[in-house]
Amino acid sequence: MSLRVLVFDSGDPKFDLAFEEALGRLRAGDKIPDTLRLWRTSRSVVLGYFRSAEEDVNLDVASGNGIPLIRRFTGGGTVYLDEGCLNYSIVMKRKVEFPISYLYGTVLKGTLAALKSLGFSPYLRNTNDVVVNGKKVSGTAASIKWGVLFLHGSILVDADLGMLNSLLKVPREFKPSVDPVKYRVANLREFRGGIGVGDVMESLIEGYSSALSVDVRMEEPSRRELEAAEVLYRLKYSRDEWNLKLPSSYLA
Amino acid sequence: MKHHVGEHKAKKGLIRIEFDERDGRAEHVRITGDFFMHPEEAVHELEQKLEGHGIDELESLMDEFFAMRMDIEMPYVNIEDFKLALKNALKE
Repeated sequence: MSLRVLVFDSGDPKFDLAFEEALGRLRAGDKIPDTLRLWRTSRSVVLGYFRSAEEDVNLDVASGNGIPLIRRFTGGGTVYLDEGCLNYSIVMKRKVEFPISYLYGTVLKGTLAALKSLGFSPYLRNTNDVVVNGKKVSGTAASIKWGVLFLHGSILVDADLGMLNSLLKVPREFKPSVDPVKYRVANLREFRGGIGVGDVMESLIEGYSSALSVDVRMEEPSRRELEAAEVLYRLKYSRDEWNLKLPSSYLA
Repeated sequence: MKHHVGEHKAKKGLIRIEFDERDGRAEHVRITGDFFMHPEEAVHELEQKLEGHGIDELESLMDEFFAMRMDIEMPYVNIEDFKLALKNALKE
């Protein structure tokens, strides 16, 4: 078995998020094989499916800096992305009894293996937060829509944490049940100077090849993927109705 | 009209339920949070299930919803977590 690897970003974070959903939908219809996508995007705030923009984001900071807010189709928290983050997405079909446990318990080992190979000692907290030296360096989110397994995450390599902290609202007080590591984030570069997004990219490809016991092959996005992403971009990800309002009123 | 907001932190993710109470009924029911629910759209169906009903019926409607929807998966979150968020909302 082999895993297709796609290194693709469009230059527009809204299109990049539309491409994520296109991957899930096309894999569901067997139009593409199992795929690992690696991508970066420009400054943006990505909201979890059930999150409210006004609760999570300092909207004046976002608009003052021209930073778009985009809703993703997976649950979980709100994140800040910029060119210093390496994002990865894996879409696959597998017959497993407990798909969510499989995604977080088995597939996510690809990320842990990648960081280990770079000399870090990563571990998981709260099921899917990747932590190095007591600080969260990566968050992940999964979905099992359309009969496919989908996992994506973002790794902080050299992101603008000042911007992150001014954009995202952090509760002033934590309830005892909230693990504060969720809000204690760091770039990998803090622990190893000189590391770049390219280093992490190579390690992720090797990490996922090893975690899934598959060979990898590099490909370009197909015309069909780009067309599907274009439709999703036009109808959904470019629209405030999807990005800013809760999806309850939106035909997803 | 009274606005109710309640939160509960489940093992994985915060659940927040809010609604307006008008003449003893829940209106504009909204469920947000950083939890995971698969399929994601089920949360809107739950909102709709509660919409317009008497506030004393909401808990049993939640039970009914999850009992009927055997396809829903909520990793590290259970029905009791949603009910606790609701109870916290009703306390206010």
